[in-house]
Amino acid sequence: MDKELLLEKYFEKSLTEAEEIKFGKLLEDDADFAAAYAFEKNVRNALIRNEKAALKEKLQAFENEKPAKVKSLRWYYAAACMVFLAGISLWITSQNESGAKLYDSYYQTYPNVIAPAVRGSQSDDIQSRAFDAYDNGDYQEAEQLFDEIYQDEQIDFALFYKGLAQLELEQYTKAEETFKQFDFSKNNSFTHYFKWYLALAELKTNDPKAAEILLTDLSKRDNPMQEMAKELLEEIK
Amino acid sequence: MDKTPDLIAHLKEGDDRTIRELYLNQKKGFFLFAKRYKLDDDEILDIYQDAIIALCDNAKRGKIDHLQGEVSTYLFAIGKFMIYKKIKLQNKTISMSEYDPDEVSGFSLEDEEDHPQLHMMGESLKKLGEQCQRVLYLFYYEEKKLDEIQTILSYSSKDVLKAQKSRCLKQLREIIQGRKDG
Repeated sequence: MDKELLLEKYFEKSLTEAEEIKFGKLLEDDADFAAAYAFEKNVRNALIRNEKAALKEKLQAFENEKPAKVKSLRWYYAAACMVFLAGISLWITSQNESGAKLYDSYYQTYPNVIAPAVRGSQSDDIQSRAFDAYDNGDYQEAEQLFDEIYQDEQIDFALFYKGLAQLELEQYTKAEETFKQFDFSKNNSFTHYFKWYLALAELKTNDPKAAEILLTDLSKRDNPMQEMAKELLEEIK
Repeated sequence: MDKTPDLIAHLKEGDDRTIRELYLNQKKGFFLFAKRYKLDDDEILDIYQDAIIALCDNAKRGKIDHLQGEVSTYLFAIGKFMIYKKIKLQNKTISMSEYDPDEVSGFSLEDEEDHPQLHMMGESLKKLGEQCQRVLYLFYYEEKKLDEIQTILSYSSKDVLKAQKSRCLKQLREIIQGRKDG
């Protein structure tokens, strides 16, 4: 087999075992072959580098996108009027509704950061099935499976994701009860998130006072939710 | 947002709208999750962009054709992996119970070999004719077989394509040599 074909098959990832041995030997013994290999490998790496650099520029452009400018002053006044009217009507509506609205604007589905899976590497255990259901938006199934895990093993993540599934199912009172089962004297990576989502659930179920206590606590300590808690607290007050 | 296979298909095509939508939709959630690692906003943004880039790169090169579950979950797994890598480089400590390298199975970071030689090669590639760029891109970047490229670019035979590829590499060598000499 000629050397060019060997290189071609290498980059096509179709070398047989015998060819791989021959390839390795040539790399050691034949300086021209080794140089040709290094050159083509650099071509590949440079193409990857170019692609990444182009995409980075694109993402930076998304980042720098400015919101659309108001076309004319007349529209600006009209918009300002609308905002004012909306503000008045918001003020008139009940406290209950404002808590629910704050929930809607602050609630963000918490991602599955525990068990991502690629076909072939996934096991069929209950944890994988639970996260599978959660990832696929089957929150009913997810809630049930996380509940089972929690009953069996008392693991915090199971309780956390059970509560999140309930929030997604709009079962806010149930979610509150679930989050409250967490032992808040613990200080692990979930503690602040338990407090945050419990506060949101309490807002939604019209208990702003309870939410305020949790948010005040979050806003005083250095933690991932500190800034968001401060912001939300300002809006409640 | 598209279902996973559609979304991956669009990412493979490098569809700007899909990338933009994914980028903007997942950003808030990613920051929410990443803030627990005491990284500042600029660091998180940098990691987030690199994670999106790695995701698109893996999609284009057919590495996640069989992804199970949500693309967003996979994106977060890459991001988490990158955060750990950064924390390790900064010698910050993390709780070992949180660190599980196995959970990003199916994902591999290419070694960043960013040396001047690669930069020169990258710039020289851009100087090639369009057809050469296309052939080399499909073969080395998308890792397509010559038979597939023959079909995609409508070459009359594989030998013609092979000759073209050799010519392109030769031209590339000459451009690099010219840059070195100049």
